[in-house]
Amino acid sequence: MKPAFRPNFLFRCKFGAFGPLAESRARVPGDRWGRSQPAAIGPLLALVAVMASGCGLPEPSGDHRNRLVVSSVTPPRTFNPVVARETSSTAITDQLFIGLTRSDGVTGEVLPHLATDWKSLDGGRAWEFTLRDNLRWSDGEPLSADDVKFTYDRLYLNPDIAASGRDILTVEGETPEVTVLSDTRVRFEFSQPYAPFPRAAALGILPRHVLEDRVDAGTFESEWGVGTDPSSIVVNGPFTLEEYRPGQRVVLQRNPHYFERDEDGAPLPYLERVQFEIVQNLDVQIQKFRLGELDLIAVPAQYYPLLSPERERFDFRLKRVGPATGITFLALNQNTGVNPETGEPFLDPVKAAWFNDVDFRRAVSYAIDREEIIRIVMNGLGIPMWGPLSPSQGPFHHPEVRRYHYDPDRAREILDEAGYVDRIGDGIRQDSDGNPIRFIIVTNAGSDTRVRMAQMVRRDLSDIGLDVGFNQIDFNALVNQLSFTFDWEVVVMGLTGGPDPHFGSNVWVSSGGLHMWHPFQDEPERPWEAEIDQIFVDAVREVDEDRRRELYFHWQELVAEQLPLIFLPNEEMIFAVRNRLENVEPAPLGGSLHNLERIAVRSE
Amino acid sequence: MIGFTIRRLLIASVLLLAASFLTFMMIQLAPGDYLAQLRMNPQIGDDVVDQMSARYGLDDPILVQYGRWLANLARGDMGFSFVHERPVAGLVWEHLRNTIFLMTMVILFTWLMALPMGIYCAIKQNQLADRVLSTLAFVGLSIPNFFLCLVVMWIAAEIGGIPVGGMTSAHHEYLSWWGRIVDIALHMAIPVFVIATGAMAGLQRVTRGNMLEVLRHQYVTTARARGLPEHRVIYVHALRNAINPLITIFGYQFALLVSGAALVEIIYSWPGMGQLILEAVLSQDLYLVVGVVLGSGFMLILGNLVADILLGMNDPRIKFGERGAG
Repeated sequence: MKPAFRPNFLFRCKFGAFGPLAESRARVPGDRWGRSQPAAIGPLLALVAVMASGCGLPEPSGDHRNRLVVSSVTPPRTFNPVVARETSSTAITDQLFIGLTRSDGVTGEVLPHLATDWKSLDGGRAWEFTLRDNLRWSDGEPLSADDVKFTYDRLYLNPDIAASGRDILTVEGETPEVTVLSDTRVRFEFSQPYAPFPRAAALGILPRHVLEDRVDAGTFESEWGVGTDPSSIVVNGPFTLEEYRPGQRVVLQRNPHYFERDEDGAPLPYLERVQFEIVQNLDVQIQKFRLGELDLIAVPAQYYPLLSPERERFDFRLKRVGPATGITFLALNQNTGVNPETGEPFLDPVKAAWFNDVDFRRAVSYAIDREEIIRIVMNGLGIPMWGPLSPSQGPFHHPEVRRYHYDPDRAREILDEAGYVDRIGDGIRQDSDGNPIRFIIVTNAGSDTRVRMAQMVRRDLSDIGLDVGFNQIDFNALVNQLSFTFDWEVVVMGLTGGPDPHFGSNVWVSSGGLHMWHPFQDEPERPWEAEIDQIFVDAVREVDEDRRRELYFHWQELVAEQLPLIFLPNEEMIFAVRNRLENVEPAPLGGSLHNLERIAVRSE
Repeated sequence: MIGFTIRRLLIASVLLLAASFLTFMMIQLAPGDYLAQLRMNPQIGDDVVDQMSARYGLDDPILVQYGRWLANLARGDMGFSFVHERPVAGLVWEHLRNTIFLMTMVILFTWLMALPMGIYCAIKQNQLADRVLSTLAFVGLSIPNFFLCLVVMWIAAEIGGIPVGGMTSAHHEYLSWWGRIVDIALHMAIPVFVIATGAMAGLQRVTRGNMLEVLRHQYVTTARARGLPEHRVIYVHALRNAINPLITIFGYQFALLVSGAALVEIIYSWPGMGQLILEAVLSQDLYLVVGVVLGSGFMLILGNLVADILLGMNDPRIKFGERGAG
């Protein structure tokens, strides 16, 4: 989702030649550039040599070995988990603040964390959690149910605070009432059943004794920003914040008060320190990994063939852990609404009519050669997607929905039958009123993968007789079209996703703002939309996991039948891991740091 | 001279105001705003986004927003970065100081290399050494910085030993104080070299040209005829007169380097203004963008001012405040 600027295209083409320098220089004998550069480097190297000669090259000392170095593309924006929104910040706050529950990084299952267990009362209207005994904050103060109540009542549910977690705690506009039953027991009561609540309860708990007066003073949102003195941030997670160097690195240190122990009773985490190096350029990141400065990185599929042969030379292993979470899709604008200010329809009704035709959407889906996209855009490391949940997204993924394998003849047949025929022989189909089928696919510039996918889709659609243009625009401008002006035709977009479909409901419910093909509907206009709306209402009330799964399976079948979004392949997630690391179990859902407290460095 | 400085600063502040206004308008008139990113997140509700929009004042008309920003600026408050959730001033300073540090080294390196090269070329005019050095200078001038940076980084990655990005090593905190200095110096090697090659060429050419012209003057011949040693003729009499245009260049360079280094900074992951401005513009972080523009504009004006003052100190014929002196 992030429009990352990656000036990597030039470097990548050079990257292929990983041979020794002598070889690459020998390739251009007599070339003036080739000669002049080393000549000019000469004095510089001499200077460096002089500087280094006094002491030898700097050698680190002290207890730096029990340390993991990972990287982050952007600097953190805040260390306050309530207002943190971007992954660059949450990757760090997730290690500092933990919640009542946690989501297993591999399976997506909800597991105990601060709470040892929980139960639903009154058919899911109330949830009661029991905390562990003797929990402590990193400053040694005890952590009790009062902190939990404070965190929910005064922070996440505080209407004066723009808390990004508030949405997942709200059912039909109602927020829960939090009651402290004892030091270790707390109850959440909703006005109606809320089945996915244990998953939402993974939100980090914050210390009341430190923050209460700042909430009273109304300054909470700017508390614990990146300029804060690290020692003033009191945490309950496996790590504390030791240092932040703006634009350079974040250093976490193990929290001695953390409760968790391993099977042998040894305290966790094993690591003394974790360092997030901020490296904006992806190529630099990979170079730093090769040179040993980074221990663990995510590898985009396009780099896999380059890194793969170097595993022995640079002492690392590559882990392919399955398709990424989230979705990338082609959406056809079905919006039939009218702009209330101008009285004009948002989208040309002629085009809206094609896009509202399910046969048209199916033909488009059959026409897309997904294998080719995987081969060309993802170096063969991708998986075609048929439903709204990726196979990596845990227990709710439906493996058997309707599939649209590449079949351009079938696509043509469907279009012919539905009346989209080329009547004048110019190679472009027209609808029954004689309007040529002509539209523009748009995606955001800056996402190389999406741009390339959109171009391939365009070619595939041209093959079946549609006149398709392609345009890339700035991400923010595109969002403006999707959320306000609704004047787009076809878009290639992506959305992130988690294990519980309920938390993606504003994409699927017809009144939702991310219901891109026709957002903010008062009443669902299409029967299948009404059916999906009902599923999401029922599922949130269904405490029985199997029944919930059935409901969401039905939703995935409906989506695959009706194709409001035509899914494009997901890239495989690949991680490069230094061989001296142990217990690293990266997964698409939890990333590489979901079990950070158990990651260890083998002593050499 | 003080009056001159004050007047210049007054004019500069008007310029900066105009620049801030233009920037403000451009960011605001571009489609979408900072919150676009959040609207695409399925887990963040529209009410939260609307609440933020109201809190940041993004709902008000543009001119009202600009007026409010100006009023705050008058109180010394440069505004608040949406993305970083903190005041702009501190943020800009954190990055600006790294850029200034890098640029100081670049300027030192450039002048220490280019000035002697230029003088040497002038003395050896049209001889082999002159031609070789001039060719090198042109090569340096004509390779785009960002490209040279990538090439040098690639070479360094293959050789090993020289870091390929960032300002400090991951083990920086575990080094002795001396080790830390060496560590930072090593990290500066590539960006300084890359930026300096671009800046050096121009300076070397101008030095050469001016020296050649000055060396033709009669007072040089007179000095030589009086039997002054050659180095005295060149370094005291000729150079002093040839250096004026170079000081003007210095003023330009000072400001140009701040902006010209941005690309190299981004590629090399140097924690300077380049990173900050790119991120700010991409996320339409309004006040931060304006803050960065103000910061860079201030550097430009400061550079020119310093150059003018230096010029006056070097050349007694220039009077401050007279027409044409600025």
